[in-house]
Parts: sequence; structure tokens; C-alpha cells
Amino acid sequence: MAQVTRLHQRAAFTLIEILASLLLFSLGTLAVVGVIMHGMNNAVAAQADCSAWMTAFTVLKDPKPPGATADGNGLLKPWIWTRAGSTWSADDGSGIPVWLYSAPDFTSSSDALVVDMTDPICNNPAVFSAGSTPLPGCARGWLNGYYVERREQSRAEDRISASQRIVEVRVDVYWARYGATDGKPLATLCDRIVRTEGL
Amino acid sequence: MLLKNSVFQQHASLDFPGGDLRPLLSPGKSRVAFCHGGPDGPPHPPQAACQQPAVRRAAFTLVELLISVALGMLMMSIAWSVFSRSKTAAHATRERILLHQGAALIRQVMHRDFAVMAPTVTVFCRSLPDVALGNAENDRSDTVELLAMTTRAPLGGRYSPEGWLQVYKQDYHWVRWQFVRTRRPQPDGSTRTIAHVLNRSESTPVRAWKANANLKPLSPVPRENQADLATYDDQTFANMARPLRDASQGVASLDNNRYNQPANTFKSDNRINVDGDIGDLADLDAANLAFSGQVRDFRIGWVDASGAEVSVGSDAAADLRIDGLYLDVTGPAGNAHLDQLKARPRIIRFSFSLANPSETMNQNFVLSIATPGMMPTVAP
Repeated sequence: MAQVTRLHQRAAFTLIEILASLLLFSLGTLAVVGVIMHGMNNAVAAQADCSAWMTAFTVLKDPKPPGATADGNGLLKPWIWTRAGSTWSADDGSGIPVWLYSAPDFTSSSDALVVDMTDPICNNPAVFSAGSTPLPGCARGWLNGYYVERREQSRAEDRISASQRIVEVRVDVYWARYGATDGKPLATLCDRIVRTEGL
Repeated sequence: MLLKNSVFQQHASLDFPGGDLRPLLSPGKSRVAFCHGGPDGPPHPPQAACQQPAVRRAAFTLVELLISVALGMLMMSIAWSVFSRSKTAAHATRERILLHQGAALIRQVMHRDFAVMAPTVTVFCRSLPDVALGNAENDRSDTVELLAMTTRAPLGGRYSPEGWLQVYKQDYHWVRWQFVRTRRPQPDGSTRTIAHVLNRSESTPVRAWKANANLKPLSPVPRENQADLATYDDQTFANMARPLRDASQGVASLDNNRYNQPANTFKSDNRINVDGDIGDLADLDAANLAFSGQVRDFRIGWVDASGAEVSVGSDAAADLRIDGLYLDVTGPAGNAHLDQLKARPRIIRFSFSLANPSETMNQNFVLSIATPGMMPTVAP
């Protein structure tokens, strides 16, 4: 009798059922991981809202920020700045320029316009061509863990005097990994400031 | 057909009490049949065992079990790895966000203390040697102290310099930022910078200043014969208090002689007497007012109105001063105010490094804040 009962039992899962269960388990795991990653992305976005804006405000008024890089001993080592004409280049000790800035030309009475002033086009070759200096008034580089691009332009009618002019400034802050490619800016800041020279 | 080759069929030759079951398993017959006593015997009452669906016994083989176990372990290892990395990444993200929030806090207060006040007050930056601290535990440490002076009612006695005195005594405040870098001996005999502390005094002058916003709009270039100007020692002041006067009509010492220095000696070309009384530091509360015990380094500098750059760090040997607007004067030197205007800070720069409490993460921050006024062309 016991043998008969055992013969009629449905003894175990089939291999297909096991594989299907594993597939469902995998999907569930991926879903949980996806939720975690989504939460992390939100957290990173919150971080960007915090510090990317600080960085944008920094570069808006200060196209030549006082960069510094950790020296491995808990201290900050200021960037080494070199000048070639009106272009400044910062080296953090790695031999690779981490910041480039071209001072604006105040002597020009003509328009000093920058292409794509209204578009957040990262590494626009017309403004920041590889291996060359940015256009006057523009800067780019890595700051606070972000890749930053700064564009500045003014028109002839924006000149107040020989040493003062109103300029339009746009700053786009990207993730550093977008430095060599394209990407959506984390923060974009546009403003008009009055710039002086020769005080 | 269903059971033709089944396990059940293989065992159908068993001697059941009800008789041979093989006829029931022949093709074309029902899968479930009642049991009976044989071809000629009376039917037996249905038995539960007999009415069960004939289901094959689908036991796993060893290979199947091993494959299943292997797959399960593989999936678990992947899931464990992914969860572990997710947890680590989430923790790192949280730590990094805290660092950025700490930087935002420092920037906010620096903006309040310096960018807002810099055009109107005198800010001193000075580097103190170890001996000045007199703190054995902080041996081999440096201090950069940032002092700012402001007032909330500078023109209470607008036309009477002596009238300012009482108001000024009541209202002036100091903001003291102290940055301490400590180098502690390591077991191997070397020294390593292990902690930096950025402290700020409990004075909140700007808060009082804003609550008593008696300041007039600032005049970058003093205009003579205007209501908001005052003259003292043949110098015309615009919208801002001048230093205190003492009983001998000189410039009084500040803060009850806290620094044992007359105010008129606080100049960029005069070193503060750091070998003497540097102040009691009583208004620094490291426990409550430390912005971050993980500030690894702190540097401050500025760009003045002429575009010149000045920087000071924890290793600075000189005392520096950001002049206050009360020095934007016209006096016997004629256009001396232009020289002062050139030195007016327009961009306050500071950089620092923050580490998380476990010191497993470090983030450098370089920030600049603008003061009111036109921006210079930086280093043309």
C-alpha cells in the first residue's frame, strides 16, 4: 500500500520549473537592484543640485578659479598656472592641463560673440576645439569633480567705456566623464555682469 | 497512451488486492477506473489509491540536481555581488553627498561673513606659529585666523566722530575663523597631517547687521559734501564707520585691547604682534562651532578690483588684510582713494578639502564668491 501511495505522488519540480523559478528570481533581483540604482541616481542628482550650482556660481564670476589638487598627504596643492599671451593654463601636477582660460579682449570695439551661446553643447569644437585655446572670455576644465565650460560674449553696444563692458556669461557643469564626449549639463547658469579693466 | 511507458506501467504487474491492473492500462481505456475483484469477481468499493490520477514519478536525476544547485549558487553569487556593490555604492554616495553638503555650508557662511562684509569691513588674515597657540596637544600646528570687523550702526553720530564711539562700542563685532592644521607624529617617526579644524566664532555680526540695517547704500567713490560723508583727521568717510578713537584722540584699540594692538597698526605692512597677546580665543568653541573636523586644508585669497590676485594658505608667513570701505577715502593725498579701490576685494576665493569621518573618502572643493560691485578682468 505504501508503495502504491508513493507511486501516485508528484515527487518534484521539473527542470523547466526550476529554471523558470531561477529566471523569476533573477528578474526580481534585477528589479531590486534597479530600484536601488534609481535611488542612487536621485541622490546623485541631489548632490548635483547642491555642488554643481556652487561650481557654476564660482566659475560665473571667476573664470580662473583657484584650483587645487590633493597631494596625497591630506593637503591641497595649488594648481600651477602658466600664461601664454592672454591664455592661462592650469596644471595640477599631472602634466595635463586641467583648466584653460582665455582672457577677454577689451580693446576690441566690435562684437565678441561666441557660437552656441544658448546651447549646452559640451566640447563644442567651435568654442573648445581640442588642443587649442578657448575663445576669448571662455574657459573650460575640471573643478570640484565636474567638467565645466564657461562662455562669455559681449557686443559692441555693450561697451560702457574703454575699460568697462557688459558681458553675457554662460556656465555649463557636466559630470566629469562627459568631458570628452557629449552630455546633458547638471547645472546651467546664465548671467550678465559688468566687467572692468584698467582700474 | 499516457501511461503506456510510464513508471506506473512498469510496476503494474504488482499483485494488487483487487486484482491485476494491467487491463486498466491498456490503450483506449480510461485512465482512472474503479477497482474490482477481477474479471468475474464483484466490484470492490472504490479505493482512494485507485482513484488517484495516474501521475508519473518525476524524480530528479543527480545531474539535474547538481545543475539546479549550481545554477542557484551562481544566481546567488551574482545577486550577492550586485547587492554588495549596490550597498557600497549607496554608502559612498551618501558619504559624498554629506561632503558636498558640508562644502555648501562652509560656502554659505563664508559668503555671509566675507563676501557680504568684505566691501565694508576690514578682514585680517594672519598665520600664527605653533608657539602662539601655547597648546601642547596641537604641537606642530599652524593657525590661519581670519578676523572681520563690522558694525551695525556706523552713522549713528553721523557728523560727530566722537558720537560714533558709543554706538560703535556697542555694535562692533568680530568674526573669527580659525583654521588649525595639526601634524601628529606617526609610529614610524614621521609626521602626518591628520586633522584640520575650521572653526568660526560665535559672533554673528551680519545677522545683527541685517537686523539693524542702518547702513546706507555704499558709495564706491566718496562724494564730498554729501550727507552721508563725515570727516575725521582730514579724511572723508563714506557710509562706513571709521576705527575707534581712544581717549587721546588716537585710534583706539579694538575689543578691549584683545590683541594688545592699536587699531591703526592693523595694516598690511605691519605684522600683528603674534609673539605677544594674540587674544584669549574665548569666542572660539571648537566643540560647538567647528564646521568640520575633517577639513584637510583651507586656503583663502581674493582678486581685487584691479584684477590682482592675492592668496594665503595655512603655510602663509605673512599677515594679510582686506581693507574696509572706510579706507576708501579722499584725503590730503588727493586721489588716494583710487589706490584703495584697487585693493578692494571683488572675488573671494577659498579652497579646502573635506574627508568623511572614516577618512575613506576625500573631496576637494574650490569655490569663489563675488562681492558686490563690478567684476575685474582676472589676470588679463
